[in-house]
Amino acid sequence: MNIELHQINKQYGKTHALRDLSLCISDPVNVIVLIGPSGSGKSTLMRLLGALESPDSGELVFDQQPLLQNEEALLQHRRQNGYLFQSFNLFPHLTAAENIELPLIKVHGKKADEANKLCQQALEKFQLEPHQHKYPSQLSGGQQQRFALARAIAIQPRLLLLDEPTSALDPEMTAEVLKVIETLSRSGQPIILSTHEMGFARAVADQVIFLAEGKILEQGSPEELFGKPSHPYVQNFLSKVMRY
Amino acid sequence: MKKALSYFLFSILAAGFCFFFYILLSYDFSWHKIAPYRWNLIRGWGMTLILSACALILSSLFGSLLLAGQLAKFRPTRILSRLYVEIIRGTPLLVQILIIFYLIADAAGLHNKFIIGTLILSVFSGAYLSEIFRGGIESIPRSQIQSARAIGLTESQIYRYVIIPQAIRRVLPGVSGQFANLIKDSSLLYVIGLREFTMQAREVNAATYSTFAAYIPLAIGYLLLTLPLAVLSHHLEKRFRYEH
Ligand SMILES: Nc1ncnc2c1ncn2[C@@H]1O[C@H](COP(=O)(O)OP(=O)(O)OP(=O)(O)O)[C@@H](O)[C@H]1O
Ligand SMILES: [Mg+2]
Repeated sequence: MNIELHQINKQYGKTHALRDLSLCISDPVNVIVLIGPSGSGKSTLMRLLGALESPDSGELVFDQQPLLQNEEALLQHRRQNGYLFQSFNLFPHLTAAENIELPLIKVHGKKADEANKLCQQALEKFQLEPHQHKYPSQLSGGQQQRFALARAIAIQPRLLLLDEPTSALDPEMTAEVLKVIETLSRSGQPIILSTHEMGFARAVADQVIFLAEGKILEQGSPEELFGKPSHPYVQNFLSKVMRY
Repeated sequence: MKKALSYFLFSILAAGFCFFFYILLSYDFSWHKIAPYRWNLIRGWGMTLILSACALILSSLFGSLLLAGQLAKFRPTRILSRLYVEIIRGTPLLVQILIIFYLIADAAGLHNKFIIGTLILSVFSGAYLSEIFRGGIESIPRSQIQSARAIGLTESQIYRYVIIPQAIRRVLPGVSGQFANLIKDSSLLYVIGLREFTMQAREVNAATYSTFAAYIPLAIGYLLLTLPLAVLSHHLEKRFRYEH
């Protein structure tokens, strides 16, 4: 997957969430991990990449196709991707399985039996079949996130966008979800992930991007970025968070 | 402690009921006086039943239209809907009945009292219903809408598959309360000479001078309409519940 961002700006009132951000990622890179301090613009960047919001200025290009900023194009883009938020992804009035089938049927036009088959395949991958008839409120946080992941991959997304998928979970559930993400990355699924789990970032990333104050401070392989960061701010940040 | 309190409440309520029934039973109602008028009361009750049923349906339609008006993108539509709701909610029903009956219906050449009565109740109750609906829709967390957008649902699909199913559960108690109000408020229509339940009871009272013998059946008659509604609402709440 090829992704280029040109001079992206995004402002919320007076807050400049992204400033003139440019980025180029090309093919052998499959798993991209965004790290950086809180408020650095990771979620904002993810929302732009997922076409959930539009930039104030600048251009996003996916596989040489510029993403047009009209409702129809944004909708098409969203339909190709899977997106996972930090929490509250599932719809509470539907069972876990119905949550997975809803986009297959209503967005991707699958027949009920076909949707069910795709749903079961996704559930099998994450060993979630036994829980599929429960409502979200009857599932643990980790199970909820795994179901949300199953929903995101059941549509066979071109790109999977995961915005801090584990930061609302306790360590055991985090491990549960990270394992699933690792499996997906091994299977060749293109993923962009923002996280505060540095160990995990290092383990799965092909490319790590460090954001601070709406700008990319450093970009490189996990060995480079975690091993010998060149930017003093990044060195400082990593030495602080890696201490524990 | 909690148990003691609940026993205490039970005893007070039970004592209250006993006292009430004791008074009812020991009072000389002279039921025989109203016996010849029983068909008037039954006909009035039937009229109130049909009137309320029609107004219930029509007011739900009105309420939904006003809701759509309040959520519309076009600002003047929003302002007019808002203005309508505030005027109806801010003025006494009695005044509305008189204005609609003597001014508006007359000018419109409408003379059927049943139709005018139904319209008045619907216009009145619709304003309240639209506010209850709006409260339900606005209580759905933003994260739900974000997730729905992320899986690629269109704006109208988001309402249909995510917001409305969840909002229904939340508005049910308010809606059933409003329906009960509508049934009771229909009693005010005697001022335009509609021969509904209350009007008939007033006439029986005027003819027999046995106030309570006329009005106790009136209370029971209204309960026969409102109680099934309450039971139905509880039943539906259970059916639509998803937080287990
Ligand atoms: N909807 C919004 N309205 C107003 N300000 C916003 C909004 N979303 C983000 N911001 C601001 O933009 C900046 C970047 O926020 P963003 O959520 O992208 O950071 P982040 O890197 O994801 O942080 P975290 O690690 O805490 O999740 C912050 O200063 C934030 O306050
Ligand atoms: Mg964030």
